[in-house]
Amino acid sequence: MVIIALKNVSKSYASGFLMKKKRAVSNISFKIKSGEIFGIIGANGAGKSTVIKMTQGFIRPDNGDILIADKNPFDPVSRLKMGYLPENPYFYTNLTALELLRFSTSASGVPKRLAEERIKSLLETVDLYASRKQRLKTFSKGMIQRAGICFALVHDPQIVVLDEPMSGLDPLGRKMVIDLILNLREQGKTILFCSHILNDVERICDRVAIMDKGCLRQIYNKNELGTKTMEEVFLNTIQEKIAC
Amino acid sequence: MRLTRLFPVICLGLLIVLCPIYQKKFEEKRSTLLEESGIGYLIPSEFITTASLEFKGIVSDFLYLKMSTYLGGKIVNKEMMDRSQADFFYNAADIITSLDPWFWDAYLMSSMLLAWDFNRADLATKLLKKATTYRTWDFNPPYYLGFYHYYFLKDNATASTYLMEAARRGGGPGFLIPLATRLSVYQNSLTPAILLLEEQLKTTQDPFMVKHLGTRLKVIITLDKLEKKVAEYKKRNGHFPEKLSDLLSDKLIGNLPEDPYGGKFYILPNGRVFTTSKLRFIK
Amino acid sequence: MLAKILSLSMLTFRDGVRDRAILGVGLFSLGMMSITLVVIGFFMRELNKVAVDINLSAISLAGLLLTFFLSINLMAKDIDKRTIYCVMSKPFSRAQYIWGKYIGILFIIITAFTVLTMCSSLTIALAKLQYANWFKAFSWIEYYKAIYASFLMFVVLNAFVILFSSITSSSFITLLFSISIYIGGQTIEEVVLYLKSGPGQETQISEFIREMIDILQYVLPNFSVFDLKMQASHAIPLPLDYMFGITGYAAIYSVVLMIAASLIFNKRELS
Repeated sequence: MVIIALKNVSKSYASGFLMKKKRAVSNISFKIKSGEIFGIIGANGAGKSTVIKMTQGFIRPDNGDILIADKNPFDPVSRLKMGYLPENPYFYTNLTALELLRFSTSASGVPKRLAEERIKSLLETVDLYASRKQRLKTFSKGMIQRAGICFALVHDPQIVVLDEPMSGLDPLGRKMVIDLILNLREQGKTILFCSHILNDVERICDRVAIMDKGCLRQIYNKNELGTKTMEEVFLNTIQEKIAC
Repeated sequence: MRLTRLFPVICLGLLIVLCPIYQKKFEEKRSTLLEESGIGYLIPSEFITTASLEFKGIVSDFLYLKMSTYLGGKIVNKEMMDRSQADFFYNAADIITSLDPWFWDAYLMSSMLLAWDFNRADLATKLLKKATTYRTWDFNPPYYLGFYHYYFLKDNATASTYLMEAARRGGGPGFLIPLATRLSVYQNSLTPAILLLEEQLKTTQDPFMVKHLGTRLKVIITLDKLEKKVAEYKKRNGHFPEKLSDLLSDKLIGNLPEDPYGGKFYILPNGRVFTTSKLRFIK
Repeated sequence: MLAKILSLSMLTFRDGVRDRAILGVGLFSLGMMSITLVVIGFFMRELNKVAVDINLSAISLAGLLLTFFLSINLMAKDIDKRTIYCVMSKPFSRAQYIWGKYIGILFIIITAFTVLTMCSSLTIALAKLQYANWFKAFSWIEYYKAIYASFLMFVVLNAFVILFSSITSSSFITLLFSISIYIGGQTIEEVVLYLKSGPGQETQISEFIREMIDILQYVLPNFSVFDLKMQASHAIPLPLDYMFGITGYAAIYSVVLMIAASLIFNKRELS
């Protein structure tokens, strides 16, 4: 069952004094099946974050359609069963981790008792339980990242969108996130995953899309890699310089 | 290296010592500038009414305090103010009462100052008419208007009208109606002034104002007593005395009274008694 | 839907109430109130007027500081600092976000006003005790009415903050426009009355400007209707229907602004 579908999606931004249009995403189409881990990789400025923001309903595509569980991303219901971890998460720094997660569960309609259980479980998993009552302004970058992962997962979403989830984490933290993601796959969750760390992408993802200068160059199945590493495949694809 | 570290500390220490000395010198220059300008108090601009936005009340309080402390300083130092400054004070009071048209303290102080110290009862009554319009529940504005018309402007008819208005508003002293109706009897008497000042003293809490009003009341009571003695002298001798010592010789008074304002009491050919100080401090 | 808006309101309230700015505002207002007992000693008779003036002004100033610094921070900077993603990644519609933020800000203003009202009531009670003879023209009811009216002004002003924040993420521009609305709203009544008065009719002002002011008086909020400080300081009673009138005015104005903000924010891109 297709759970995320993008069809001929394009997006341009106007910038500068003359409001010159700069293309961020150009005619992208792909489908993500339920239970799949789909990775998007690309150089800086490739358009990965733009695609993710469009799936969250933060920005509208100029052309094309996006469906999240058969709903338009601008429909709040599409985000009911979706969890999102942005690249460099920013939270209200005067809140505690506990308050933040309680907000996440109440906004997603999770019953109170279940919410408390899930919050406790997740915080223990990411080793933040002891700091749950501390204000987020006292958290280190790694702690914020882990709090963000909890924020994305605490309401038991069906779809999880992770933008650079390893950012700011030490090797232990990275292992913890990978284990979490693999656990989510076992539960049948769908994961859309962006990362610069190609080893992790190769290890975790079922399929990988390579983006370059706003275009979708190629989608590779895990099995199609063969003896090549993800890095080799990525560099070869980018160097082909095929027009969008 | 050590000197590089110590240098900012030394500079700071020197500045801390030198700054107060420099400031003191500068303050002397500033005081000279204010004295040369003639008045140490700037009249508030008409723009201030709009610029005060929703803070008109507190701005009016501040401007009133500024005016009263300035005047207080003048009175305490026994400095006579130039009569040409009357319009200046009237305009300042007008702006304060435009900010808060119900501000009785401002009306009262300004009208008293204008009437008694600047001899500009016309400006005082103009202010009090404004107060009468706005403070519709208060007997004080028409009461003072009535008194000023009687005492300063010698207009008994208008005075009577205002005193009747004060009586009608209620809450005033009991003598208002009899005073209004018998004004012609009091035409040449100081009794209304005495009654007014006594009433003012009862309701003023500011110790400085109490002293100021008390001094004025003391002089007016002395003038009233002397006028009664002059009338008695005339009854005895068939003519008014020429000087106060005549009353002393006739044993009508025990000693020559002193004017706390520093003036000398004298008798007019028509039997009225006045003082050279005109109830204002002389330098 | 209401539960979601309320959860965002509580989030906003908690975040705002823990901001250090609120402590500074509170200390400033309390400082202003405490000087009441000193300052009123310099006045002649109407000590009640001065005490009420100082305390009501302190409360209004606190409201202004909270609106111009805290509210704008909570709203315009949300997009700038990207903290909005943490809310909008949840099933909130744009309108729910706007309303949730607005109600959260109002909760902060209500809390601040409640605390300051209690402190100012204590200050005035102490002043009344000390100078009982000069507190004859004072009414607690009129005093609290003035505080309520002041709060209504902030209901409308904060709605403007939300509206401007929905248009631009620059907190400086939002601040500039909010201050302009505040000043315009406080002065428009005076300007209109002046132009209608005798001297105003004679003043040399172009017809175009007169027309513009005629239009502006219906566009700009008339904040003067919420300023009951003068009446409170002289214990001049205000009829209940006037209070109902200004409540209705504030409610209608702020709902219109919030609907406009929701519509504008709906089209906004959060990039």
